[in-house]
Amino acid sequence: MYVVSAFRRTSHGPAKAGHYVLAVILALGMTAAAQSVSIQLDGNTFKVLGAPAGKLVVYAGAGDVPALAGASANEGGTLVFRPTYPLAPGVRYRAVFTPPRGPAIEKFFDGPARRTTPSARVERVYPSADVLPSNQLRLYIYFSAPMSRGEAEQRIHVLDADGKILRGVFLPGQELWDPQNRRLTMTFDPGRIKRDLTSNRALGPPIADGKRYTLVIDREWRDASGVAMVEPFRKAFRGGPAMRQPPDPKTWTISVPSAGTRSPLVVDFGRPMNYTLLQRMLRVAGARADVPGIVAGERNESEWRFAPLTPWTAGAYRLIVDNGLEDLAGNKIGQPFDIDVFDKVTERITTSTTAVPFEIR
Amino acid sequence: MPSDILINDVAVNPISKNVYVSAARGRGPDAAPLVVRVDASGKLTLLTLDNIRHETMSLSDAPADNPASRQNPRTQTITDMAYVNGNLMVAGMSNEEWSSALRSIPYPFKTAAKGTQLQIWHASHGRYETQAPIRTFVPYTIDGQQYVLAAYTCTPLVKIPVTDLKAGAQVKGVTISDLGSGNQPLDMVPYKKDGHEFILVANSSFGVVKLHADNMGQYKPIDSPTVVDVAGAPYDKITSVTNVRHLTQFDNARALVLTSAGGGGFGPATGPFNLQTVSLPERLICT
Repeated sequence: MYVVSAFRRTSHGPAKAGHYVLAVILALGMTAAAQSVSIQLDGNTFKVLGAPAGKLVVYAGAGDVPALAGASANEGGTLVFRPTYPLAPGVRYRAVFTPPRGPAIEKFFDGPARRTTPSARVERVYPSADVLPSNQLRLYIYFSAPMSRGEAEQRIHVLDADGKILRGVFLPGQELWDPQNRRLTMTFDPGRIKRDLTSNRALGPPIADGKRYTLVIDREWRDASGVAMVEPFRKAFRGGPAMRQPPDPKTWTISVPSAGTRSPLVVDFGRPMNYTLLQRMLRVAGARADVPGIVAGERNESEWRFAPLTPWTAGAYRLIVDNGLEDLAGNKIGQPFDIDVFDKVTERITTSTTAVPFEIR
Repeated sequence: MPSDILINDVAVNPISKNVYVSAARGRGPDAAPLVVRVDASGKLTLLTLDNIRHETMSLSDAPADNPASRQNPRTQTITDMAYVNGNLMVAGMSNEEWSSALRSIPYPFKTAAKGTQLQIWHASHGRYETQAPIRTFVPYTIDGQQYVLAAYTCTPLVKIPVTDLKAGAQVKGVTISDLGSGNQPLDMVPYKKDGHEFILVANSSFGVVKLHADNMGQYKPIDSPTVVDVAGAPYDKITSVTNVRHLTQFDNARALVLTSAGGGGFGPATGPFNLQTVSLPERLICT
């Protein structure tokens, strides 16, 4: 058994009888089994070569630490230990093999190399406009690579016109990420936005109409591998008037393309809208089914463009708007952000829609 | 390194008093999640979930994926959950639309029943209030009636009668306290001591406070969105416990706190974590 595993370790081709003979001769030349035993790290798996029995335990780092979680098994005559969790960069591992007889042997391994070259950067930020309403609700930051969570509070700053860092701009501790950790949703402190709340009375809104600000995202923000970004990000913006009126589809301008073309349907909202909701809260319904197409938010998200995958055919269509669609200040269709009415509790949060008819000729 | 460890929450088994810590190693999308059991001696054991008895309920009300995107970027973060009167209550928050959703799911789970998804409105700040999402909540009994005490993202603590949390009802919450701006309640522990009721609240930037909750039953529900409610339970700051990141009830006399030498609240821990029990504070600070 020892011989076969020793052979397999060095061969990349199929086993051949002649090689077995050679290996047996080599094995006979060994004075003791212990001399041929070695511990190796293969990817994420520790292996004991030359000893199918015994106990293999791995520790992370130095000191009196619990053994690494994982499973040991004899796989084809080789004792292997597979850690439950991937090995971590920057950690030194100590593998200890205790044979049934004789002294234990140990060997140290380094975890995978830690990447040190920066690659992540801020790709874009929404809203894209350089004037934000004083009741701006959310900020979306798109990164070029997966990022580390838990750092936003210390890496995102809003500076006033004098370059002074403003405190209490965002809701503390609330980092809402997409599944890839590439898009972060930050919320401006709603307690400061909503009129008459304690914070609003004490501090006013996070953004003041007419004031100038700079959004700064530090280069030191670590990506998912723990490496800082390539460069910092800055965006200057100005505070504008609060947006209090809910968006109203009746006031939207719809530019209808001609039949036989793939020109986009263009909806002008007359104000910038929430970029992420524009991606999924509007659709185009034909006579029988929804029209498949490509969606884009343009002109600082004040415009929704819908390009069909196949040319338009003449006929009646409807623009279907989810009433949860929000503008920059969180006003929904028919529902301003900071004035609520008591409403009936429903068994499910129903998704109501508004239909805007149009015709392609 | 402590900064690579993210601790999501801690819970105490009320019978064994073993502590369960939900954590992740790493801070990226591939961070390894794990649950660790900590016994009274401080021994850590990894809780393997492979063959553990469990039930599953899928929260499937997420909106349809945008066909143009390769992967749906919308996520519904669960901010807190608690078992109340035969129901698992789950508070969630979306990374896209602004909404308030508290879901009540009968337990044991039934495949046919997805639970009731509730919208709660509280109008305790004059006529201005929104569907603010719930950050954390605890079951709470006032004068024999079951409530949930919910902390909203804009910090007011609101009591909501559980009997009202059913389909078709009109639910009115009552604000009982507002713990100040730039602050988020992390966890709450209601308790009784020497005949008085208190709620211990750990905050992101306001430290730990003890709310005096004796008179909470007297706060009147808001009947109209135009009524200004100025109710505010008195509270004391508890300065003996600092750098708190998580707080939960340990037994009738003690709370369990998870602290980090690097600071409390939400940011990355720069020092080691510490789990310890602390006595629930008495009524000895003047209000």
